[in-house]
Amino acid sequence: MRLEGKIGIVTAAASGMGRAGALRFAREGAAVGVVDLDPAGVEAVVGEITANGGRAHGLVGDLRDDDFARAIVHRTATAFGGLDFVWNHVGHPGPASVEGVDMADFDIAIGLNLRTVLVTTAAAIPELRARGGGALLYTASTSGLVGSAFSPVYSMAKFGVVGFVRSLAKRLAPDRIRVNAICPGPIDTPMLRVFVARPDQQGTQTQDKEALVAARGRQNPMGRTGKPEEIANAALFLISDEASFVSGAALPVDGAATA
Amino acid sequence: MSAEQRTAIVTGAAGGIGRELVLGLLGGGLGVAAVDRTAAGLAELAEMARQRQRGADLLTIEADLARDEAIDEIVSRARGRFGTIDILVNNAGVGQATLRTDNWQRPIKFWEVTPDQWRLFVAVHTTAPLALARALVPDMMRQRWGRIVNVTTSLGTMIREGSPTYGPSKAALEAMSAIMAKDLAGSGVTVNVLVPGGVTNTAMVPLEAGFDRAEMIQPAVMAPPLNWLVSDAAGEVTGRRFLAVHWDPALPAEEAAAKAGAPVAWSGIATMPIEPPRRA
Repeated sequence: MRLEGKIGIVTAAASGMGRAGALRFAREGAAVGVVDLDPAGVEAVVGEITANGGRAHGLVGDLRDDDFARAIVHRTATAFGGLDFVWNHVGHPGPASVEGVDMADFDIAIGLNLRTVLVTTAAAIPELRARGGGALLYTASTSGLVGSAFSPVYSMAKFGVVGFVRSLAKRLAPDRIRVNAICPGPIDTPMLRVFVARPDQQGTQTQDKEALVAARGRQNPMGRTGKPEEIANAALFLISDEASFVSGAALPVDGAATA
Repeated sequence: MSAEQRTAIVTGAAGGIGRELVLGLLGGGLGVAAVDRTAAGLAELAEMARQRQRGADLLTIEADLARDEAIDEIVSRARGRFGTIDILVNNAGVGQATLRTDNWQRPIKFWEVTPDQWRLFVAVHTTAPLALARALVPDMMRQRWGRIVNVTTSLGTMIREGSPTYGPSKAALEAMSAIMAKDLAGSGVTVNVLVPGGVTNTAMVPLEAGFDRAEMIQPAVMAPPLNWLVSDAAGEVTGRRFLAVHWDPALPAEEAAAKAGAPVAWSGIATMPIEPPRRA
């Protein structure tokens, strides 16, 4: 039980990588606040956790609402008696365009990738301090390490996440709070179907999305997309006390794509 | 709902906040041993309980918490009436204005305080809560169910000018509450702090202070959060402080608690002391 006695939150946890993380963390002994916009998805994840004897708490809402982004922290800390970790997995693919970009799309991308995680982080830090330390994990992307030709705005946001993580790690080290980022390559989730064919991306709207996903996998050195559980495995390590000397890291989990 | 009646000791029970806490607990079906220094105040409280058809579940105990002997008297009388005591609410307070009635207009300086005056505030605000908790906690731990709620004061009041005995003695109780919660972690006994959140409309703030009484925090706001804290639903809630003024009773309790709560004392803002590694 690698997270025995720990209490934490996973955002965007109703599907894909977030769901894989919430389920794995609960199996490893953590009490988990499961956050998402999708009520049925949250209920299913919470149900699966509790059916297996774990502890979980569903929190349904839109993280773009600052009050909700803060409330997930306070409600989880109140329900379970404190807070040890947050996996800020919430994000958004962003627009493909630069010339002719719709600035409303930019606002959504920056809002979901950067603003929400800052609001949640600010609320979580005192709670982690009160428990004598903890772990903050952020989902960046390989596009936060190298430029994404597909979406410069997405890279803008995800490089921002990596910068935030490196800076916050230095500030919070005396509080024994570790701060890291996980940088997934192409992972087989529902959201990957959006990444390979962004709504404003030229030439992809008429193509079969599954074929685009398969092509993206073939481009990877390992010849495939990654599985949500492979991201959850890395997230588990970074969040657990086994990573006690790891902070400020942006860990690629990408089949050697950015090596 | 438990078939067995939960019972509580509430100190400072006849004051403005104390009576709201007592009547709130009685309204929830609990048995209450109400402790206060003033017989007249306790008699009024008993009458209010009777008017609410709850007189039979109230025991009044006149006692002065500044006396060490008072603790044993309180505990044995409460146990005699109710058996095991499940809940302790350390609400008693000595107002700063007891040292100087016009303290709001002419704030007392620390050098004007005598050691004996300081000792009285510590006796009521810190020693008595510790002594009562010590007496009651063994039973609470044995039955794996207990609640300690300490009424301290706003973090700002703990360090406010003009508050040289009230503030620091309540701050000591706040720090004690943080440690109590850690000592009792996992035992089924929770320890939390509940405060109004600001200047409250009770006799502790005299009319001469100059506040519009209707604009002050009303003591009744303290009852809903206390009732939740002592319930089974708050069994995992420990080591937190709640500001009653931010408790919205229209929300589901867990949401109200999330908005009104924070880590106890200054644990959310304090950096850990630097400590070298210890040899095993």
